[in-house]
Amino acid sequence: MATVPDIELELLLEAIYRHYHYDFRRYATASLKRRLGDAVRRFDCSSLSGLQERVLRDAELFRALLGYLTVQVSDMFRDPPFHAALRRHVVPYLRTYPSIRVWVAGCSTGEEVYSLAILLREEGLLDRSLLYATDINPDALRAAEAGVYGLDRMAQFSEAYLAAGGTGSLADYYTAGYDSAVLDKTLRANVVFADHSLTTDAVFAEVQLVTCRNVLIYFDQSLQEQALGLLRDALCHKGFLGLGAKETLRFSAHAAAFEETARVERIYQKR
Amino acid sequence: MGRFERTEPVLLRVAIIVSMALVFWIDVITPLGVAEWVFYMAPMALSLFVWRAWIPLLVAAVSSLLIWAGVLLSPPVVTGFPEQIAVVNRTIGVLALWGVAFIAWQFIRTRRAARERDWLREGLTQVATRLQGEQALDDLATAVVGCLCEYLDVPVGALHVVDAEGKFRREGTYALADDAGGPKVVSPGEGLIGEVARTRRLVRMEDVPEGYLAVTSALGRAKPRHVVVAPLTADGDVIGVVELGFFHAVERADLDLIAATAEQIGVALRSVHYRRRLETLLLETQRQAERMQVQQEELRVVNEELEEQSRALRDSQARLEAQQAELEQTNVQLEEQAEALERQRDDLARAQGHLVEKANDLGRASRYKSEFLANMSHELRTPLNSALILSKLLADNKHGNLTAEQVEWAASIYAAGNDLLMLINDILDLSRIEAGRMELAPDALEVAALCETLRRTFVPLARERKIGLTITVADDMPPTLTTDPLRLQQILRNLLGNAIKFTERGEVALDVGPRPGGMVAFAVRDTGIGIPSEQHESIFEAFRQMEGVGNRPAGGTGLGLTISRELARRLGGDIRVTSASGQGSTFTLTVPAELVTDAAAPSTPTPTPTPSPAAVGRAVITPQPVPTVAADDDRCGLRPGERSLLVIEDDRRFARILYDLAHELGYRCVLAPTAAEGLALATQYVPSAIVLDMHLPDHSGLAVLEELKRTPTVRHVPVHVVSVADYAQQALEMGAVGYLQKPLRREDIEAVLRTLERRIEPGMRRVLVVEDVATQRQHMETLLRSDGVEVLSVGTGAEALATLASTSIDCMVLDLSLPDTSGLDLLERMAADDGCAFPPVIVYTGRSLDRDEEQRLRRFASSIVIKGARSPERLLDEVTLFLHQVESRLPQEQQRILREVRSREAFLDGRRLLLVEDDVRNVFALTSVLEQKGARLEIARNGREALTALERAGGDGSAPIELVLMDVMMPEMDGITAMREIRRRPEWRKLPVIALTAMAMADDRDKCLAAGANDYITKPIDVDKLLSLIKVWLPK
Amino acid sequence: MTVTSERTALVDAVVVGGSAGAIDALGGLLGALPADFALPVVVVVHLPRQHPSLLAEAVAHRCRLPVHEVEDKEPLGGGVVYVAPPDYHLLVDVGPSFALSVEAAVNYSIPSIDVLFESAADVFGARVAGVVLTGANDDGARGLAAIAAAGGPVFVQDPDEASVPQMPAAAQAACPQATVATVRDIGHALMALSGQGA
Repeated sequence: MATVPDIELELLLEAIYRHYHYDFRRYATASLKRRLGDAVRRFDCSSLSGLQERVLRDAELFRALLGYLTVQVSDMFRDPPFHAALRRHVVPYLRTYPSIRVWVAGCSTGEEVYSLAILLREEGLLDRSLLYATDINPDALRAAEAGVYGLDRMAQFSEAYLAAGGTGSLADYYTAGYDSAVLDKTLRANVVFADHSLTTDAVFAEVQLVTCRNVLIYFDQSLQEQALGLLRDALCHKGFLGLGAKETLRFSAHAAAFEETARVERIYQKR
Repeated sequence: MGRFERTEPVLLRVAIIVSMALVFWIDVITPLGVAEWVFYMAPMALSLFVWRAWIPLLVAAVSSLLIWAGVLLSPPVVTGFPEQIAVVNRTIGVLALWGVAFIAWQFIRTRRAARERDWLREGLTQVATRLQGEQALDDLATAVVGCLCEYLDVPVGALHVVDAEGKFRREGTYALADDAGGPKVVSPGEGLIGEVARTRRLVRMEDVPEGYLAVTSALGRAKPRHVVVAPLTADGDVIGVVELGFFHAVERADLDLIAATAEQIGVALRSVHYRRRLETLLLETQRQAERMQVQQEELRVVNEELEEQSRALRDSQARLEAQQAELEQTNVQLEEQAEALERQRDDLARAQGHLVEKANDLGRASRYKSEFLANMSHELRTPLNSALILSKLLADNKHGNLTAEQVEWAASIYAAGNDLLMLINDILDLSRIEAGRMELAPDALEVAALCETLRRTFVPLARERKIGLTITVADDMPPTLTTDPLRLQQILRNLLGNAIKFTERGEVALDVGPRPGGMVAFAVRDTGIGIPSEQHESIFEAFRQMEGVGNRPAGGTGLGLTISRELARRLGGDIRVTSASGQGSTFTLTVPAELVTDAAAPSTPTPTPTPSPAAVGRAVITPQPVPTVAADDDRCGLRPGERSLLVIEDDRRFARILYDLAHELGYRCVLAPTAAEGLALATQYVPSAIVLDMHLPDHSGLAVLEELKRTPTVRHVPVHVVSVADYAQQALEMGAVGYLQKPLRREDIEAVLRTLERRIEPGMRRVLVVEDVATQRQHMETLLRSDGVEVLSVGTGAEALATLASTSIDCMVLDLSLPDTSGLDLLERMAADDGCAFPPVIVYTGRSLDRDEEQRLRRFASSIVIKGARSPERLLDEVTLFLHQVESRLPQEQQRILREVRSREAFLDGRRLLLVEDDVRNVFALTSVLEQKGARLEIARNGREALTALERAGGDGSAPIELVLMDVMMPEMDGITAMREIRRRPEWRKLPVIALTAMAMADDRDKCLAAGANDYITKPIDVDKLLSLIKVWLPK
Repeated sequence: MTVTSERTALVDAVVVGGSAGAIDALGGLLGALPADFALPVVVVVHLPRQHPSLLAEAVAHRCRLPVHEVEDKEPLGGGVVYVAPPDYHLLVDVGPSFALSVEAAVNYSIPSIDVLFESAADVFGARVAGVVLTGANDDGARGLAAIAAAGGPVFVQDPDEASVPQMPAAAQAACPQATVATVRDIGHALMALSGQGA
């Protein structure tokens, strides 16, 4: 038996889908419920139904709600071993391509995109690379495109950068001013920021590397399968897939389509 | 000055006027000289109590006028009172009155000042009261502005307080309309409030415009007429700004009060600020403390983890130590065991040594025995020979000088010598057999001939002993045996000889017949004395004869049966006996009809001398010019690469069978009766497979095979050898895929063709490597060669073209730098040349490519690999992929496309399209589809390039672009922007544009259409749909 | 009619939270469980974000059940001890399977005990047991209250036994009906809940 909050949740997501064409219906409910609970309190509603009523009539409120429906937590060089493994296992392979395409699926506020751009620049590959950075949250995309982050986060980023095998200093790539750091604009010269949904949209390019880290954890099993299929289709033969530290293909039907390149760092290669 | 006037009672004013009028009236009615005007002091005294300072002066003035008027109006002096005195008196009175008035004026002003001070003080007190206590900022601000408004009797007010960012935020209001307008937050310098904040000076505004600081009440709204905006400061810093709207005119006292309270309020606000910041800091400190605590906790957890780990480590170390001790013990034990083992081994070795020694001894003994026997035979035979000859001479008695008795003796010596010789021969035979020295010489033996020989030998003997001898051969007996004829005869002779010897009367019979299992039996049956069953085995033992027969009535060495049995066993058979004493006996020899010897090699009856390929050499075969007309096969119209079979066979009948079978299996078939023609046809047509006979009129098949394998263009072609003679080993070693010996059944031939087919169809893939550096080429060959993959490699573009023209290639690996041409030119020539197959091309280059080069290559090359650390791996992947694709993917999509190409529709032929797309996969796919339809495609990677391409196409006189396929998501300039740009130009307004996008939402479609797309197609692109869209939009 | 002797479990899962001092307490609690314990045990201990955690190994030494760190979408299986990975919130989703999240820290912690407990209460209702162990802040109190409100059995380590008493004390305050006991006794109670008896 579905409880009342479950029904309300379903109805809210259905309403959002019908009205705004954002499909959250197959998101993992546990954390979504939690975040929407926060939203109900934040927007002063009595319940999810109340939130639904308002969100259907108030596009601005929906924009704000997107911040709750999606999780915009990202760090530069998050999980340094992952980036170190990219350098070790994936970069030599990328080097064999005359032009390199990388897709950061679910780029959030862009930290991951800049991390990869820095990595590629240090490997001398950025000039012949094109990075697609996609997300469904327009505010996040705008922040990603701006590339401005709080100065207080830079210390932690620098530490991670070095742990990830950075060859210089992270400070080479940003200019500090007031309380923020602006990342080098040339890093994003080869980045396309675009609105793309792993839920509703199709493959748009063939790429050699997809990173989709800590995005699939918010999807339910079926949506995760669908998204993995999409990522697999976007990869060229023997292309690489990077996942978050605790994400795994172990429970997926797509496991057979990949082999483990770096097991602990979650880098897979398409067979 | 109104504020304080309002408070004076009307009664007082009336009293003043009435008292003045009364005094005047009395003055008028009383004669001059009566000093009743003194009473004008009364109103003067009353005017002391009013609040307006000018009233005593007015009273004085009016009183003065009235006094003088009284002079004129009063009745004349009564009692001679001099009128002058009266005038003087009155003058003095007036003066006094003015004096008093002045004093009153002063008095009132003093009192008013005191009153104002009180008011001010009261105001300050009230404000101070409101400021007391810890209040939130907005509460405090509201209280203060309320207090000020009430005290100043002002209808509306607002208070702005500076916040952390230095902006002034409206915190408190009094009766202010919600929509009163005016910003809630202002920066210093901005607007009136900002200006006041900046200059720290009070501003007073008269006759406020409509709508400014509107007042609301339940009854409606009104606007104040005057506005005062005043800074609130603390220690010279502006903390807030108060804005008050007055209905009445602003008085100085109001301003005084505002100025007086400003500092007080400012300080209070600042302290609220301080307090608030303190609270924030306190909160922050608390949070940090909590966070620190959590971090500490986390660290502690980590420590605990580590402790636990180290505890576990200690545990496992202890365990390890225990295990080590155990191990040491075990080691000791093992060592002991090893020692014991070693001892045992030594013992064994010793025993073995003994054994070897014994074996050696035995061997030696046996050798000695053999040598002894050999020697003995020689040593014995030589004197025996002399004895025999001499005894024979004596027995012949040529000189006639011997007595009959002496002749008898000599004959006896001769007979005994003969027996001895036979014995020696038998012993030698037996020892040879036992030592395994006897060699068999199998040959065909006709049974009838054998029987005839036996009959001829034994019939006279039997007749001599007066017994019968019959030899019968069964009807189903095979006419010929393969065995060692001499040995078989030796056995049979022995058996028959014995039988005749031991039979006194009756008969001896030999029955010859087949036995199951490919054996034949020779049964020698007699009617002699028989053998008791307990002696059936011992009679076969050397030097044993039937007891009681020891007197050897018929002579013989007694070794015959032993030797016969040994021989029978060597021939693969045996001898058995069935007999009973006095009942006669039957010795049955069974041997296989076909003797199989251990050594297979010499079994060939008529071995054909093997032609050595080395001896044949290459120069021997000169491929003949192929007769073009004569042949009755498929060579006319056969194109290289077509499914075909070459049969090199001189037996026309067999060749024809192959020809028909090949047709049944869907091959075209070419026949060559000679080696030379076969080679010529092979190189000319490069058949899918070859069937090769070994016996050809001009050369051996092996030579042809070798030549085929030496020619690069046909080396890959599978060859199946068919022959009468057995050359399997050589042929397979030289690279034939199979071997069959004639004669062949139809099924065998079908099987051969099937083998070839399997070899051709999915298996063999050819990769062409075009690389100028020989070592690299070799590396790549080694890398790519595998089961079912043949690597052809060439060093120049010309060779590459030649190979492509003559051979079907599944995948081509191309280095860009070649001695005779550039890789790109080569690709372009391949594309232009219709006779040249165009396999999937993998560009393998050490150069890094710029985007244009890459784009140009992409139109021909399926993939590009830049040489580097991981490139061999990737090259292998790509090649494998394409070889694999040939079978898996081509049939469906590509073949459909190819089919459509054949039925090329005209609508795209020669039309110029612009494809704007950055995804190489799509570029490749769409280019191949559209170009095969005859379209000429321009490629642009982004919107900007698209615009350039459009301009260029229209500009240089070449045909303009007729339709644009526009991807939406692209770097630099996206499709939406590009389409807008296109539509902005009048000459392109009608250019059809079809948008390609991966987005699935309806509004994406709208976005594209709004930007100027004529139509829209979603990815992944359905080729049919795209073609029909192009058909719709392409101008006719 | 056959009489079945099998006792059925009263809950489907056990969730455990703790912080400072928790390794030892976990050792005591999990050490009390038999190798054939039938329920999944889900553990959240506050962990620093940057390090890979040794928690699973550390606990495994003291416990007869297999212990391992959760991966996303992993289904819950009986007789396994699951520990939360660092830098992720651990939640129970329908299935039941695990879900991870990298949202902001709750109670300054990621993983947070409250997040796990509340999601478990949501999925299992009354059929989950919650245990709060030693620790120095009040994470877990709200989550334990949520489990209790859904009707699930709740336990708090005796603050006198806990090496740091704040966390159990806070849980006790937020959830007065919780059974306060030593880890060993809680272990026995969990066995009773699993239907395996003490």
